[in-house]
Formats: sequence, C-alpha cells, structure tokens
Amino acid sequence: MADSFREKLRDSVLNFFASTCKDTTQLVSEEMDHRISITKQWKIKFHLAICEFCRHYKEQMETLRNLAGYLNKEGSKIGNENQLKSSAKERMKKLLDDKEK
Amino acid sequence: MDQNVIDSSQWVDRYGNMLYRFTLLRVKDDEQSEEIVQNTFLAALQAKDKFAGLSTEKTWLFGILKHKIMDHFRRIKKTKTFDLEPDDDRDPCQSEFDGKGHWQALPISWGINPQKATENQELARFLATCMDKLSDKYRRLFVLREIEGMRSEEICAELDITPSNLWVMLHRTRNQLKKCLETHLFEKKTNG
Repeated sequence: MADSFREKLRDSVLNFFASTCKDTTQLVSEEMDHRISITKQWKIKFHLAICEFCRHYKEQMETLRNLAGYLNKEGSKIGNENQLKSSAKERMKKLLDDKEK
Repeated sequence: MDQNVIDSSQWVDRYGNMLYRFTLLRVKDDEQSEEIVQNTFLAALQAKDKFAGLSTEKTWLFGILKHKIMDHFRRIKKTKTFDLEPDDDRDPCQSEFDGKGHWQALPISWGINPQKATENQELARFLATCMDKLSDKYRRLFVLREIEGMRSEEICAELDITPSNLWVMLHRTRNQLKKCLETHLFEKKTNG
C-alpha cells in the first residue's frame, strides 16, 4: 500500500516536471520575453539537466540575443556600406536650407 | 567646436549616414528609411529652440529619430494587423520534432560561447542578412524586442498584440533566424 502510494507520488511528480523538447524550446523562448511561473522555470531546469540538445538550443537563443544587441551598438561596423544617396543628401540639405531662411 | 551648439547646415554631412544606417537596420526599406531621416531633420529644425544643450547634438537627433521610427511602425499597424493570423508563417522548427515532441534532427552545438558572440563580427553580419529574409511583420517584432530591447508589454500595447501571440511569433522568428544562421555556419565549415 505504502509502496504503491510512493510510486504514484513519484510518477505524478515526474509527470508534472516532464516536458518534451518541443515544449521546452517554447518555454525557453517565452522566458526570454517575460517572467514565467516557478513551475515553468522548474520544467525548464528539469529538462535541461537531462537534455544536452535543448541546452544547445538555449545557448543558441542566447547567442542570437547577444548578436542582436551588438547590431544595435554604435561601434558595430555592420551595415557601414549603406550610405545615403548623394541625391538624397542634396535634397535634404536644400530642404533644411529653405526652412532655415 | 562647442558640442552643445546647433548647426543645422552641417547635419546632413555629419549625421546623415549614421542616422540612415540606424534606420535601415530597423526599417529595411531604403526609400522609407530616407524619408524617416529627412523627417527627423525637419522635426529637429522645428524644435531647434527647444534644444536645451543637455545632450550633444548627435544624441538629440538620435532621440528624435527613434520617435520617428516608432511612429512609422504605428502607422503600419493601422493598415496591416500585427497579430498572429492563421496563414502566418509556421514554426520553421516544427519539422524538427517527431509526434512525441522529441528532436528528430538533434541540435548540435555552434561551438560559440554566447557571451563572446559579440566578438564575432562575421556572425553578426550573418544575422543582419538573415533578418532581411524574415517577413516584414516578424522582422519588426524582432527589431523592437531584440535590437531596441523593448519590453514585451510595451510592444503589445504599441501594436495591439496579445502577449501569448507575441511570444508565439517571437519564438517562430527566433527559430527562423536560428535555422538561417546554421546554414551560414554550416556553409562556412564545409567551405573552409
């Protein structure tokens, strides 16, 4: 009796925390956008502890975020080749000049 | 030169390209970006007297530009919905899972320390390329969330999206970018 109760308890605890890789990737992404519930946090922890692949996924998401942050930095050289067309520059200068007068 | 004095005759030469690059990364379309930069200069000229000299001319112009970009996104919202639609791009990683939700194609490590990712200019360049392959809607959401770093509540309020739809769309966007980056990383490995 006691044993079967313990087994049931164990199974329900395991089931409670168990989540598939698919669910975990969704939770990992969701956690990047807002504070998720403690249960969800534990689901992620529990899953990542045993799943190396989802750990890679999480690292990739972090890499993505840091790269995006880098694109925002003024010092980043990305997109330096993009310049205003000289015709656009002239137009803007003229507009500013006219308005200034 | 005194940094706190306004000199509008120099704006286009001094800041034109800077402001344009900043806008293009967010808006993608070159004509629209040009227009936004131009409106920024005009708005700045009108507000010239209000420039308090608390910041530099450059910071002040960028402040106005950011407002103009957000206005642009709000304007789009009026003509096109930002919300999740049934025919929206599906999750590109959907096929990576089997019926039980386990990985079919196991993710492999990129061999990149996420904290050091910003030292990797090449990868950042790939990301910029991959962003341009996103649909306009997903690209905008990614820009607001990850480039601008806006909180999801703010984005939901600005663009009338429910939080759960926003998270679904951001999740799909990230998966799409992950796949695209992987293609680049894989090509690099096989080519050299």
